[in-house]
Amino acid sequence: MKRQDLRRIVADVLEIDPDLLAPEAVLGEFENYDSVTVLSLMVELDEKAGVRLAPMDIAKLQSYGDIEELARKQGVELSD
Amino acid sequence: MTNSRISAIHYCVPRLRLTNEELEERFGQRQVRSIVKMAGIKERRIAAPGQTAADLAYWATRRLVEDRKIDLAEIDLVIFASQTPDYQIPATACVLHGRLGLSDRCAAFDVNLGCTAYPYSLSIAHGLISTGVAKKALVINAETLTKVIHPEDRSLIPLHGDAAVVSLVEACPETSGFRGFLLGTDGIGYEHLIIPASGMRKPRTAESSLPVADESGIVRSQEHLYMNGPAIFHFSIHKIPEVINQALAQFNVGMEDLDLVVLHQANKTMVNQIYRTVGVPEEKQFYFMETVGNVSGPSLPLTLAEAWRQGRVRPRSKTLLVAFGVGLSWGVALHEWPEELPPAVVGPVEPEEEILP
Repeated sequence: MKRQDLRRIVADVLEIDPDLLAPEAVLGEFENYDSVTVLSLMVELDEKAGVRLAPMDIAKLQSYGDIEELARKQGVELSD
Repeated sequence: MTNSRISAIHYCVPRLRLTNEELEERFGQRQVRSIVKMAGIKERRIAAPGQTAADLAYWATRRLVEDRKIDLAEIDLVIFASQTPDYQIPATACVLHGRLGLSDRCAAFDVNLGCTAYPYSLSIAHGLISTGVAKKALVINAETLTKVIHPEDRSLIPLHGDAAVVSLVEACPETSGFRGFLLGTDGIGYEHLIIPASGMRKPRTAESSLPVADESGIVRSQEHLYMNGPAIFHFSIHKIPEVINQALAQFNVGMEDLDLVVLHQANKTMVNQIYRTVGVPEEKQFYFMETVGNVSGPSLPLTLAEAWRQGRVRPRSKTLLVAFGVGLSWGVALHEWPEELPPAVVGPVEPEEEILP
């Protein structure tokens, strides 16, 4: 899938501009990133990108780049 | 062997309402909107101080008995499934037995299960009826979960409400009734939904009653309900579709054979996702949580009762009932309705007496 499509999925859940999601962007610094939006992320990433966010992965998520890394580990190719 | 079937259902919710507007005042708009958007809940019914799950169950049962003109002497089994009973000892089923004036030939016991209580308690009633131990059972699912949630817990307060549901389960010919049950457990996950200081393992102390904020700033004590949201969510959206497909294979039915698939109303996003993954067509889906919230064990039978009240239960149709949650556990039941389907119980759903804080 296209890198911008993955970014759009996460941006829609966080209700932010996708351009704010640089790989180093710290998720916890977005106002809407909380225990509830994490659950929405689990659903949206699974349904729209085929990326499964397991509970143990959530604790390790620090930056947006970690989500891209997780997608790659699960065999989701990200093209520019 | 005799089969058994659900011949009537009725429910009761407390009079007190807790709206999203009140929650926004208490916890802030952003936090509440985010949960409400995901959960699809506008208001919840909250039991008043002094009002218990058994009180709600009593009113639901009284009205069901009046509506169906049941001779109470014929009731020979009462199952009270709840995690918020009146007492640790004795079983609340016994208290209700006395309060309802049931016969001394009636068995009465509790089942300690939460969200999955309905398929489990139905399967117990079915087992006792089909082996001739009982003929006419009251299966009661009742919870006042709001009493075990810390008042400052902004993650759980918006989700939950209180309710009680009674189902009349009776012996019937093989032409209708239950067509199968699938029950399961993953006990490794028991800590994901728990009240830590609530039994003998961790006795209550002065320390266990102290409220503490966790890393997300959510406040609760060891004596209040804790939920590991991501773990429960992950379990529900990945495990439960698998379980439904296993159940359909075990019962030898396909989606085309079902008229209605009713799920535990945990939250709307979760229910949507399970429906989507399993491929349940829209006309076979039914939701009822917007005005009551997630009421735990009573959620599934309450939703079925509403489906019946709204004309979605039809003669000779098959309904799949699916519950999942605390334990972790899951249960699925397949029920076929009779040709001569009785009308839904349509009486009031609030207690008769006024209990206000």
